Parts: sequence; structure tokens; C-alpha cells
Amino acid sequence: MMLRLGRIKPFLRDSTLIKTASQIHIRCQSVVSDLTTFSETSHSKELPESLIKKAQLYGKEFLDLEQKLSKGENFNVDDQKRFAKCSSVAETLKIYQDYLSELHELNEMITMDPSLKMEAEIEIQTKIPKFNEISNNLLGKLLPTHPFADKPCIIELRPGVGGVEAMIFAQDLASMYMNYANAHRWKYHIISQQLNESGSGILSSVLSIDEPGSYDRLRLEAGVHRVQRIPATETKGRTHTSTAAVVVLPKLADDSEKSTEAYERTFKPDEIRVDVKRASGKGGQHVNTTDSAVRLTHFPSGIVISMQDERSQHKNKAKAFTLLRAKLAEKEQREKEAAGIAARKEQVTTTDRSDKIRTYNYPQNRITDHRCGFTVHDIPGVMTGDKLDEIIDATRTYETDQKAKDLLIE
Amino acid sequence: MSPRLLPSLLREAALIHRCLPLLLPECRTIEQARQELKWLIDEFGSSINLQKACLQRNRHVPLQYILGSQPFGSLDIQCRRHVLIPRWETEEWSLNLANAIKESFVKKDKKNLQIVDLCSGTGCIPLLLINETKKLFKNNSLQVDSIDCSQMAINLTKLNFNLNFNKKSNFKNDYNISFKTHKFNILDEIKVKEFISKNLTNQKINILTCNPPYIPPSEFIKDVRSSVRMYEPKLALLGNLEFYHNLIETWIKFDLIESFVYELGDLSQVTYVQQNVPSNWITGVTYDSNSKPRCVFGYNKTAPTDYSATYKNFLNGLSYTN
Repeated sequence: MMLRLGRIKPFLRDSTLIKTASQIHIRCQSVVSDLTTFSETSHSKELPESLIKKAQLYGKEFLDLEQKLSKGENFNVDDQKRFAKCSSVAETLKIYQDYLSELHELNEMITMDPSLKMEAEIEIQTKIPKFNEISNNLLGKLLPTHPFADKPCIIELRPGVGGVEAMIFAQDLASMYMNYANAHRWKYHIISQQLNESGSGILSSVLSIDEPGSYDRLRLEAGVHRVQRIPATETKGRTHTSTAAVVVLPKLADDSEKSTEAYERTFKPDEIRVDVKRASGKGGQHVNTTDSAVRLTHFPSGIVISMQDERSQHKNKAKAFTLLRAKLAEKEQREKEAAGIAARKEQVTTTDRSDKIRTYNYPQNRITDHRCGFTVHDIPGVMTGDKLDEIIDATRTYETDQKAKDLLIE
Repeated sequence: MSPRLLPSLLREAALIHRCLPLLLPECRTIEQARQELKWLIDEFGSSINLQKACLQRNRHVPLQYILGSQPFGSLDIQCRRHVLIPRWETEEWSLNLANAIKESFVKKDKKNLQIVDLCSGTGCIPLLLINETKKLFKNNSLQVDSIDCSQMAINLTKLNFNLNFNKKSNFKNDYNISFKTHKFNILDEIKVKEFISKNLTNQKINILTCNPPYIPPSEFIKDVRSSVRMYEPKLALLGNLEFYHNLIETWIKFDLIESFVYELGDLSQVTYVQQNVPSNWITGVTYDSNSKPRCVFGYNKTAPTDYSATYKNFLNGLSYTN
């Protein structure tokens, strides 16, 4: 009896949910777009004058570089990169201006000739979404790119509050990111993983996603993820709330021994300590231990890293140094950003690891990102990595908007 | 020697994996046992072989003999019964020595080197030195000789050389390095002289390395782990001052070497070496990350090559870990 009920229940729940879910989904999206962009449906998202001027500077530089190119002068890699960037900005600016002038003409038409008002308005309505897309595109190109944007990344997952359920959720998130990497055909591997003693969930997991540029894509995933569901460990059917922390780090070097050895030598001896777990006794030929755990302590930053997955102490050390390097780089970048914010002396909402960034509500089959208010009603789809892109896109758009606002203040 | 395992611990382990209790006598903690189980599963899957392996481990067979290999620096060293398993302490000082050679010989006068390793066993020390320093020897030559008195050790050294270097077909063409193995007993003075007359390229051997058997028979029952005692060759474990005596009375006395690094297990062995070297030799001791005395090194300060920088680097190399 129990079994049958178990089968029927989720089926019923699902079919009713799908209907309501899709309705809510549409509603939420429109609300979101109203909030984040400047009421997209009726108004065009025109960029402010200062940004256009900035874009025009790129346009000028593009012409200069083009002349240089036509003269057949030497062209190095840096110039080439710059040229590619300028040309793409100039191109987008041109399309943007074309659209803008068309919209202006249509607006003028309305004031000049009221008889054409209806038709002109319809045309404006059809043009605006496309225009906003281009305007967003241009904005994205004008914003400074993240210094580690082209790097692969390391994702670190740790359970937060919620005991075993949090550990299970951390494991779910780990598999979500692995599925996401699979869906994009990105190479990844597990640097280290510690399973929970009783067998379900993880104590910590460090994934390496080796695709260059994956850091830029995934860095906004960093933060506290919250889950609301009836845990597998729950016997009375109550919904629990648990969390898991995600840290995304840029991966600056591969974890082969060669590259880390050179890096290891950049530290002063008193900055760093490498501990190996060794039992008392004489060591050497007296024992043939297999315990190869390594603990790395970096005193200036207080970062401690333990690594034990490999049979070789040497490899564990190399991996620990890779992780330390990533952590230090990320810390430095965060401090720089914080200094920038402090310099402007105002409270700016950031997309950093503030506090909980996302909620996974299983009973409602809903995932909400708290930074941009974006909601998706398809937990299985996201957890298999297929629909995670939707959320990432939304948070990126939000970040772009935020950055643009910052840029205007400057 | 070690306290009895609590039944509750065994029960807890059995709940996680049915093979886990088998690993506990050797690993002692569940955490370490899980780690070993993971490595065993990586090697054997979850077939019947996994069970067999865990049963072997239960009888204290060293993991390295079961898996057949041990990582050593960036090399993978094959391990077979009757040959000593490379230890992490040895790995540590070998890497350190390799770095010291790299740092002091890359900048200074370019020269040809000869390194001889005694009591080679798996050949881990000379092979790691070759692997780490090979880039220095494209024009200059490096000759490495590996000596052991056990035929099984010699065979394993050859196998390890072939697996780690000869497979990469361009090793012979790219680097000016020759590697040879010799089977004889170094405690036999006549055979040493015979070896020297045939194999000396420079006037003297530049660096002599050795990981001799250094466990005094009186410590064998008391201080040696059962897994080592039961399965590793006594030939490679039991000894006290014989090899340090041999170092002083043969290699140094007949002026065959310019410098040496010997692994050891006890400070009394350091004292013996330091008291008996001639006065023109400078000696020192290094400690491993576990703060145990691990190596005695020395160099002839009147030798044509200046080793002070090399051994200063060697001594300082462990500063991260102490």
C-alpha cells in the first residue's frame, strides 16, 4: 500500500505543478524584467551619454588601428587583441545608433503626423526588444572584463547548517556542477573529496573545471545556497532548511608538480609551513606507512589547506599548493574590489559571496536567485545541468546592470 | 604492539563497506582505512580481487606490494616482494638533493657528473635524481650507476628504468645520460676496486648516495611495524654500522668519492660517521618533516669541485617543513 501511494503521489503532484509552475514562471519573469531593466516593454533601454562617448572612443581607435593595418605595419598579438575588441565595440555601436535613429524617426513621425500614430507605435513595440538586446550587448562590451575571466576554475563545496541533510545537499550541488560541465562538454576532475563517515553526503569536495573561461561563467555561483525540502533522513515528513557554501576560485596553474614547484619557491620559508601527519616512532625503514596527508598553512593570510587523496605525499602537496594559489588570487581580487567600493564611499550591493544567494525549494519545484530575483520552476532540469544556464544568464545580466550603474557613478 | 581494535569500531566500519574491517588492523582509523579502500577500489574495481586484496591487507601485507607500485616524486616505482618499498623520507631527501644539484650546478661551471647509488633496491633514488636533473645534461654528461647485491633488486631497478624512461623513446637521444646497474656486494673491497677501475669517468665519483639497511637487530622486534617485519626483506633492513664503516674505510679511505649522502635511522650512526671522517671532510645532518634525523652528508673540501653551495642548498631545502 505504501509503495503504491509513493508512486502515485509524486505523479499527481508533478502534473498539477507543471501547470501552475509554467504560469508562475511567466509571471515572475515579467516582474523580474520590470525590476531589473527600466520597464522594458514600453521604453527603450537607451544608454547614457557618457557611455556612448566611451564607445565612440573605441570607434576612433578602431579607425586608427585599421589605418595602421592597411599600411602593413608590424602587428603584434596585443594590437590584434585590441583591434578585435575595438572592432566589435564599433560594430555594435553602429547597429545601436542605427536602431536608435530609427526609433527617433518613428517618434518624430508620431508628433508630426497623428494619423500614422497607430502604425508607428506598433513598429516601435516590435523594434524595442531587439534594441534592448543590442543595448545590453554594447553595455557588456564596455564594462571592464574580470582579470581572471579567461581562466579555468576550482569549485569548493562545503555543507553549512543542517547536519547530514546539508552534506547530502552539498553532494547534490557537486553533481550539479559536474553535470553542468558534462552538458557543456567541459573537462573536469575531482581534486579532493571527503565523504561523510556514515556514507551519505560529503564533508567537502573540490572540483576542478579545466575549461578556460569557466571561471567567468561560474564565478557568480559563489555564495551560500539554501535548500528547503523533506530530507531523506527525515522520518516525520517535516520540511527542513539547510545550506551549503560554494566557493569559486580562478585556477591559475595546472596541478602538475612541475608548475607548483616553481610556485612553492616564491614563498618565504617563514610564510608557509608544510605539515605531514606522522605517527610517533622511528620512521624510515621501520614503518611503511600509506598515510600521505599533507597540511599547508599560509601564515600571512591564515589559510590552511589539507589534502590527502593521493597516494603520493608529493602530489598531495602539489594539489594543496594549487588550491592555495587559487585562494590567494581570489582573496587579492576580492580585496581590490572592496577597496574600490570603499573609495566610492557608499553602500553598493555586490554580487559577491554576501550571504544566501539562492534557494532550492523542492516542494514547490522552484529555484530562486535572491540577487536578481530570478525564478525557475524546474529543479530536476537545473540539477542535471541543462537549465543552470538560465539562472547564470540572469545573474550575469543583473551583474552587468549593477556594474553599469557603478560605471555611471564614476 | 598496537592496542586491540574496539569491536564497536569494527562494527562501524562494517556498516560502511564490508571490506573495511579487514583494513583496520593495519590502518587503525576508519578515515585512513577508507582512503586505502578507495585506492584498492581504483585498482581492482569491486571484483573478487578486491576482497582478496583486503584479505591480504588484513594479514599485514604492505599496500605497495598489493598494488604493485609506489609513487616516488613524479615517478611511479614498481614494487615487488623481496625488495624494500621506497619510503616517503627517502623521497623527501632525494627530491631535495635533486633540487640542490639543479640550483648549484645550473649556474656554475658546467661539468660532467657521476652519481653512484649503493643498496639501490627499487632504484628509486638514482631514477628520481635522473628525472629531476635531466634537463641539465644535454651537452654535459651524467653517468649514474646503481649497485645492489640482490638479483631481484637489480631486475626491478632495470624494470623501473625502462618503464619510466625507455618507454619515452626520445630519452636516449635528448639527454646525455647513461644508466647502468651492477650486481655485487659493496662490503667486498676487491669488488669495489674492480668496479672503480672499470666505471670511473671523472677522477672520482661526484656524489655517492645510499640507503643502507640501518635497523639494529636489537630494535627489530621492538620498533619495527609488523607489516615491515613480516613482508619486507631483512637483507634491506637489518644492519647497524657496517655500511657507515664501509663508507669510511673503503670509499673515503681510498679517495674514491668527493661527497656522499647516506640515509640513517639513529643519531649514533651520525656520530660514528662524524667521528671517523678525515679532517678535510665537512659533514652535516638533515632531519625529515617528522623531525627525525634522516641523512648524514659530507664533502671533501679539498676536492676540485666546490660542493659547499650544493650541500648548503640540501641542508636548507627542508626549511619549509621544520
